[in-house]
Amino acid sequence: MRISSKALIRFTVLLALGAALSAALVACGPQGPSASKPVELNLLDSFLPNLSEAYNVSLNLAIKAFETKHPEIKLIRDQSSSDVLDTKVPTLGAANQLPDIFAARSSWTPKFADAKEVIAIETLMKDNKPFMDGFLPGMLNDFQYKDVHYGIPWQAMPISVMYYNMNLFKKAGISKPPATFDEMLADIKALKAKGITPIALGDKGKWQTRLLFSGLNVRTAGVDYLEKLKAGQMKFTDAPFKTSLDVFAQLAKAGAYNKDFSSIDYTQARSLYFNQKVAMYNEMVTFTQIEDDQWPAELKGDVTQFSFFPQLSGEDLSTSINVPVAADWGIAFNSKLTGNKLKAAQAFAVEVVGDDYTKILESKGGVGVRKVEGVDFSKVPEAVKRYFEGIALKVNAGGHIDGRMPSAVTDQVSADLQNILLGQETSEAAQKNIQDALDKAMQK
Amino acid sequence: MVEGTRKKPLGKLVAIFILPGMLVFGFSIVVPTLVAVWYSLNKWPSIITPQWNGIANFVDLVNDKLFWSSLWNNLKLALYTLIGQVGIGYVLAFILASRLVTSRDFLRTVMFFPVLISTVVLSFLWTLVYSNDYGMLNVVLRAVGLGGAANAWLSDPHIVVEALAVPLIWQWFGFYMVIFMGALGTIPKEIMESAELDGAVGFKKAFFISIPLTYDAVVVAVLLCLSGIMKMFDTVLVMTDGGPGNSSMVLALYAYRVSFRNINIGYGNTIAVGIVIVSLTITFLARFILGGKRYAR
Repeated sequence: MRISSKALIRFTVLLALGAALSAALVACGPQGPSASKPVELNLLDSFLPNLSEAYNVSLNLAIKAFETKHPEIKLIRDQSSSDVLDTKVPTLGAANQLPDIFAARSSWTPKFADAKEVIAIETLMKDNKPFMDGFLPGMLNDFQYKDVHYGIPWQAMPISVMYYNMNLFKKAGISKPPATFDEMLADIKALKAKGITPIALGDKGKWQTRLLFSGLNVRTAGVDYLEKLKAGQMKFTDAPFKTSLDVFAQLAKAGAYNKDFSSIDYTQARSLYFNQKVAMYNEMVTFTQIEDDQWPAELKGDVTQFSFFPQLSGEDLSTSINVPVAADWGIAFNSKLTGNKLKAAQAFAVEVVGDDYTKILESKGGVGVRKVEGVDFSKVPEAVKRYFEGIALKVNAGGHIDGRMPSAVTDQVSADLQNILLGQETSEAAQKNIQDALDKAMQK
Repeated sequence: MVEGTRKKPLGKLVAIFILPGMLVFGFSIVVPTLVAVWYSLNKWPSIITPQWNGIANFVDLVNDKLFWSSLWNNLKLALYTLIGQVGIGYVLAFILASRLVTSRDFLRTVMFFPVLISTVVLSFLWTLVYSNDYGMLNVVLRAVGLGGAANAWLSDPHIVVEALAVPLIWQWFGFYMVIFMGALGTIPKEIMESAELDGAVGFKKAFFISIPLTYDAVVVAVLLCLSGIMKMFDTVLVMTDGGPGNSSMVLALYAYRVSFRNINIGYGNTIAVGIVIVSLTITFLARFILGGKRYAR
């Protein structure tokens, strides 16, 4: 039987109309069971179950508690490592497809805020003044853009802390950690003479050198140096930054670091310290938060000692010290949230990154961004206790370059710091390169 | 079949068969390329709203030292891999084609095997091989009394590009070897036998018979190798991430970093367009120099 083409077209059109009508009728029908359907919130995070840092364990516990308490809210979680999120979130942002709630780097704030893709925390929580009043002063600053804030950090990280293996120091005939930078250089010489690598550095991810750079800058240029740089009141070519960069140059000259520093990451550098291959290590406080049972027995007790980077020439550390406190990562909320989804997101903010979470975090040795009382400190890891005991100075909090500078600038900083450590570049050349990158970024 | 008896296919029918392929090509190659060119002429003050920027991004590109140093690294890698992948592949194809070699199939499979391994996995394995303290390379060097030559291979800016070239050669020489083995296999036996009867054996046979008759395969291999290296990304990302400093930065990684890490979509696409222009120029140059079809049978 032959079917004419006209008949075929009529049949196809009728079929399409029928399908469309059916779909419309289904959509207009009674809600039925879907009326009690839970509110769905997409959550993109980096809280992988294998990470043992306090914030990670605490956030997973808080999310689990939230899910148990709110059966009417369904969290659809998508988890990736923070390295993956580094590209995934900006890509989703460029496509205007950000999830409802997501882990965000503070450096993305201007881009997302300008595009009106994220909601200001002040707007999200406008009906919850106690929540907004609960943050410690300045702790939202990394997520600040044009006087409002677009993210809630899940922890504050006092960074750039030195770890000393006193067993290895004693092998080199040194009885105490260096108090000044000159002492540190002398210790490096003594350690090298005994065949011990002085300091472990794993800068493949390129942020470890930036940690130390920020740690030095707040001391040489003041806690507000990042704001001054962005406002044009300071330049990277100014003397304080040369002092910071010269520290790297002198450490390089002394042969302080493991030769493969640029091709291993921070976990490998930690392993060098854990395996007692190096005498010193420079990291964030999160390192101390690793559970007691994961610290090698040989490094417990008085073996590992903590202090800030030693006193620089001309510096006075007798009463206080400037320390960069980084948030870097936090939770951000999509600006398209409305109705029940918005309410669910508000509940998420209060319960997952609010006071209860902060109590769990601090009980595990983390440093929260909210004022909380009644924390159970009985299970704080031993290293955290000794870390805080070791810090007797009054701490003035400053910013970290990663959170508050455009990433084109942080990339340039990394390249120049590695070049200095390789003896390929002078401090002056690095200063010029970094300032050029900042000028270019600010023009755009 | 008698010439002229076959009916010419209808134009419309040909178009129908070609259409799906053209659509796929259009949407996967042509449209993204045009979009990239459009993006490269814009800047993104906010992440989702482009703003016309004319040729400003291209002016920046011409003055961008990192773009040129990345291109230089790509060219160095191209040179090393041309010699390594194509050269070693060609020599091994000759050796395996020799009557003296036994277990030819086994050897071919073994040498082709690295091609099948994921580049990310392989790059990670080579990172371990190069490890300063525990890496196989340094351990072997120390064991044979050459401890002085042991090095932090991926952290030395003077040799990092060369160190990256080795796994690339190791992974891909088998691929080119198989191409050349195929080309050598197409040389008619009669020609080889005639050459042998005329006294052409060993190098003479290779230079005057085999190489000329496989020249087109060499041209194809060179072009494949060059285009592959100009897109080089994964090996460098896993092994060095462009470091130390920017010593091993390559063009594709630079474009990725600018686009995704720095969220500078306009300039990232400008770099991508730059890669296309440079790659096409190099490919045409290679095609011009090498000729091809010179010895077409």
